[in-house]
Amino acid sequence: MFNKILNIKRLAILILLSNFIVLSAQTNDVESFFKKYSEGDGITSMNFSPGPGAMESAANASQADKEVTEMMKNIKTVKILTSKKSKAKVNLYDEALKSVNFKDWEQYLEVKEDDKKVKMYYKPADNKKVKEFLLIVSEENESSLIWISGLIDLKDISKIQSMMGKGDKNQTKYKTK
Amino acid sequence: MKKIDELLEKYFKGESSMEEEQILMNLLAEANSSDKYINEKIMFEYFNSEKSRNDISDDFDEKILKAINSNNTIRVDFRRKLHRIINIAAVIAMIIGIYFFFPYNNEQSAQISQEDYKGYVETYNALAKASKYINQVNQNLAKLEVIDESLEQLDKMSYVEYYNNYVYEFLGE
Repeated sequence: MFNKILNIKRLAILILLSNFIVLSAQTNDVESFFKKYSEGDGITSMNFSPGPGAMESAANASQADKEVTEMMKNIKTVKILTSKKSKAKVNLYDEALKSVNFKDWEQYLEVKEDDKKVKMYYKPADNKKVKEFLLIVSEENESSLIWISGLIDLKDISKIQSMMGKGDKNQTKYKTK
Repeated sequence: MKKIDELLEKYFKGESSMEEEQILMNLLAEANSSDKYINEKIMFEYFNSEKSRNDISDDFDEKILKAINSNNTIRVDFRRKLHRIINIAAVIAMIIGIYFFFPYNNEQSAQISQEDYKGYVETYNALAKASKYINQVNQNLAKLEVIDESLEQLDKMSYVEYYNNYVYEFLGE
């Protein structure tokens, strides 16, 4: 009887341990990638998790368009890695494609043009929106990774360029700040 | 004259009694305009005239001293001061409350931390970069659509050729 109880205990501990191992293996690859490279030589990193209302206040302060404000409100985390090819030994584009597991991601676009290579992935959410998107860019002088989480509509993102293209007040403000 | 000098000296030192002051006033009242005491005479006459003009009673000093020494008066002053302090504190608290609890007041923008604003700008720039590539792909897709349409038109041309052949066959040419 005592042996049986001991065996059940061992089994329970084993199950718990295996669960822990499986769960820890499932941690976000992108997150671990950012952790690994954020302190690398020649790499600039930015990690931003806005507090409640911070994005809306900042958008209001910049007199941003309503659509931009609405989009910004739903952003939870922004992580950016940039490496200058002259300073860093690592090409973030190549490293990301090697290291990150894109099993749960869907590819949205791919651009290849001269020295420029771009890939964009997303994780779908409800209502044709995305809950995360990852932009991997390799350009002539630098490579960068942009990871944004939050409820975002990709169509809204595409509108930003047209707003800037019209000489909209936001662009100059953001650049001069 | 010697007596006037003595009394004046005592008076200016503040050592004279009320009786001595009265004697001094009487002596000075008798002085002529050519006397060396003419200035003192004018001064005391002025004091007397002022004294008669005011309604201050003789026991005015006593009353004041009594009021100063009474405990009640001190308490009233302290309460008034306390009241004032409480009123001022309440007004300050109200202003601070309005400043912090009205989320959309005009000062809101000033409260955004530098880090939040920097983060916002970086996010905007990141989204703008993504936007640029999305639009680049969309433009290329639009070009492909144009090519697609052209091919469809070419397809229609093949129908014309087909009907031409059909007509030629019918005419036996």
